[in-house]
Amino acid sequence: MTELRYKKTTEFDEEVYAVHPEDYRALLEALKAEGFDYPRSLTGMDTGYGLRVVVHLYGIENGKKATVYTDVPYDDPVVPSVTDLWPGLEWFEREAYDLVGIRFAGHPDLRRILLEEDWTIHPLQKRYDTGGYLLPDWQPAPWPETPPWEEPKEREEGGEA
Amino acid sequence: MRGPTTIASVPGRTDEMIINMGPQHPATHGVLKVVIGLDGERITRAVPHIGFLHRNHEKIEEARTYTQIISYTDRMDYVSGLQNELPFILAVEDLLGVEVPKRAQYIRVIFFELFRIASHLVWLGTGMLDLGAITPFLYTFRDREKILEITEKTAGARMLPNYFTFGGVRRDVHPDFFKDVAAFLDFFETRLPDYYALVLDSPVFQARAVGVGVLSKERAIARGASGPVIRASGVAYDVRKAEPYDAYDELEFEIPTRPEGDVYARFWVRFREMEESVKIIRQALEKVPKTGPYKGKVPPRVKPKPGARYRAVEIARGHLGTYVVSDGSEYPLRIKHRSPSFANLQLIPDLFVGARFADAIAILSSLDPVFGEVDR
Repeated sequence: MTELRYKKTTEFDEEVYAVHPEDYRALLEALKAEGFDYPRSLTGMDTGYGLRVVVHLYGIENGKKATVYTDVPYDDPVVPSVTDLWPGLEWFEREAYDLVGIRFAGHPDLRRILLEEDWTIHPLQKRYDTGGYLLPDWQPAPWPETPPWEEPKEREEGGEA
Repeated sequence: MRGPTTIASVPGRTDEMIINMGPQHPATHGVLKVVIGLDGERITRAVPHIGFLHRNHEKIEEARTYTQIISYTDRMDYVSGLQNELPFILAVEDLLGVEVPKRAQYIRVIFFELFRIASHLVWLGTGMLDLGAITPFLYTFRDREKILEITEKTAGARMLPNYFTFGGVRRDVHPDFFKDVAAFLDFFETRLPDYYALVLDSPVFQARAVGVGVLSKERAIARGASGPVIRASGVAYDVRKAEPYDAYDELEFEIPTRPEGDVYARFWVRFREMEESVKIIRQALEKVPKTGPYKGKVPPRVKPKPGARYRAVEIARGHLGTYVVSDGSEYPLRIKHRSPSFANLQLIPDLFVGARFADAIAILSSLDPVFGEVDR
């Protein structure tokens, strides 16, 4: 088994995993096997440089909480679906697709859920204003040099600590 | 038009009838559309469609300051309005690092449980209306009115009070508040036996509820069900115990559970929850500091530090979570509301298929959805 690319931190009382999109499903499978059996929530969001999926998990037996997130670029926002692990995320993934535009590969029924079927935009993206119109001067931020799942690179030359 | 009014028929089957329930059906508690396939009286397929009440709260909230957002959260689950404010406030308090004074914590608990009773009373009245019993509706709305009057005296509004705020509550309680609450509890405890007799003990109700719409424990967990729905399937999951907020860790109460997972169990759990709420409020009335600040120190301009926080509370319908992502400015980067009815409604295909059509109404009222919160 190859090493999973993720970075684990503790924020408040939760374990937060930032994971590489290719290892997103493998990490969630591992967490499910660890006892995180209850799907609390799934959020899609626009970070300014790409789209992010955030999964909130809970273990009914062990009472532990975990948050897993990954970033995908605007031009290819695809992550694997995890509805077979937690069927309760089926509508949450549909909502993230509907409002934010993330596509979940392998979702059994990926249709719009809250908006009507003839909508063409995903209104929660930052390129649209509250009325759903394109913001004329919106530009995507550059993809970060060190994505959240990588440790920041050591500075080679001296600088401010 | 939202969603097809029909579903494709199964090749080779000519006896299946497709009917369209809602969105104006009086028993759908708002605007739910379910396209149902029927074989005689049995439901063969059920496809729910939601979103008729969608207002995109989450986009609007990204363009509001943190203080302005509180009044939007009220309007998700308008039946238990005040409860909806709390997860957002808790998340922002965590990011701000604000301490909540004990008196404020107890005032929040008292209001929180009062609204649980109010919400369960609305559910009981309208749920029994769906099943054809008109009398409970008249009784429960009279009782609920007393809670709304108490709220109005302190907060100034009845259903959507916008009363909780960062660090505590917006203003101190009315001088009569604790006396009024105690009087209401005394009154309500004399009413509860009547409700048990009218509903749970009634053989007419039992005939429609026992063994109907059974949800297994495993399915309830996997589907992310919460609130009375998961507890009626034998899972003792209650956010008030799992991750206590405010003063809940200082109060003693039980989590009523029942193993059957049918409509009757879900009704029974809500009845017992009202009793537990009375118990919680009585303890809180004793323990609340009679004097002291009702609000902690909060900067006048609310600017949480950059970061993200997910907080959950147990509202009347279940696990309500709010995920707040802050970039350090006065406006949030993203706010996501995880609403309990939204997750619970995913159970419609699980529970409807195989049930009789008349039982679908009973199953739906036992899930108790509120569409302001499903569609947000």
